[in-house]
Amino acid sequence: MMSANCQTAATDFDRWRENVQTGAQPTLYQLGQGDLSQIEIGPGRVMLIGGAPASGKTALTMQLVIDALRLNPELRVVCCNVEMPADALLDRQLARLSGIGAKTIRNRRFDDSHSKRLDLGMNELNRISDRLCFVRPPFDLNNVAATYDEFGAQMLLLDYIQRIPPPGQHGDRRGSIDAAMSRLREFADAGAAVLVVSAVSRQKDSRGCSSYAGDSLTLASFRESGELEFGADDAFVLAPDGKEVDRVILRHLKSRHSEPRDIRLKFDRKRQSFSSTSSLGDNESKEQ
Amino acid sequence: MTTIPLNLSGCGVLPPLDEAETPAPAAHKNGRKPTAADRFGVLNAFVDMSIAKLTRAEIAVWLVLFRDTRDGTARTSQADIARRAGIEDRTVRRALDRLKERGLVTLVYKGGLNRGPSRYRVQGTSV
Repeated sequence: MMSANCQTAATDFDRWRENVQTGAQPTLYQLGQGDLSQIEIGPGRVMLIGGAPASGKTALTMQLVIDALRLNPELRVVCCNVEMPADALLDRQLARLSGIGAKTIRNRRFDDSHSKRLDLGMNELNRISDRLCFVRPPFDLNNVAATYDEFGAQMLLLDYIQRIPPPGQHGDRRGSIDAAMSRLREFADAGAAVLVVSAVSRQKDSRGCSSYAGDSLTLASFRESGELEFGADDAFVLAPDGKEVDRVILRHLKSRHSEPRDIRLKFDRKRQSFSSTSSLGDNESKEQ
Repeated sequence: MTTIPLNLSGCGVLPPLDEAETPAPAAHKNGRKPTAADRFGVLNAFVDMSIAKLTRAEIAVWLVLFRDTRDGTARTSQADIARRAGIEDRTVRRALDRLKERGLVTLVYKGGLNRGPSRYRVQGTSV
């Protein structure tokens, strides 16, 4: 007969009461400025971000991670990206920080006008580089967990969950995703802050057509399993906002701890940089 | 001209740089990397069209950088150029300034203490 693993509310009541009465605030990591600062992520939380292919999910989550490292001096992050190598991810961040086009960075076609900017961008990335770790193959949750422990991280970025399998055999893709989310909840319960990027499926839009249009994407859009949105504390979908090509909306579809609030952003695709639309230029250092 | 701030504070970024559309690297024949023939093309252009207007020091500096070029750039310190060219450090700096003015050398990355050596790209002509 199996013995129960449980506790009464009385067991931890004194500890919990003291925590409430001392007013100790839960740890939340700063992720950016302006509207981006309202995104809450901290130990014990799982944040899910979905979006259509090429919607900017990787660019946004890497921006949040790099800026979290810049704003939180003790934070250490493990990043698992199954599609892009570390060099390519760093190229994009250099473009964002330096203001130089990502294509110029990628093609290494520099001239004197780039020199000072490259210097500043490189120095900034160098400053946080010892607190950022990129997972190398195999891209599975066992390796992710081992890397997280060995690196002493507090935050984990998984891009993207449908391509990062959990250990063991799980029959089908749905079972695999269910098991993966269960594992991520274990990571969170152990104190990790977990950012998860997810693919989404096309949905019927207002005209009845199957598409990735922003108004058609819902919690049901996350691909393979409902456990994705059930297991997350916050769920967002990144989608175009209107007809302007550089405007996107981060729809806050689920929030377990606060009121959901959509965030409207400007996406500079050339430099792979997101900024608030509420006060354009919040995210840019002032020119002297 | 925009004055760039001295540091990236908080989570700020530098303002976007207005730049002409940067051409992609020239497509290589059959997708191969630049060949010896391509390298000779640059050297030939340098000899045929540029060398007559240069001083001995400028020629020596250009040749050292050309010799050190790997994957499009040369990663060489000024002290190393000076040693191999048989000239003083300050002569190297003057030569580099003139080569840059003529468009025969481009500074791609400015090196320094804890930043490693500078990186340069050489061209055969200024056209």
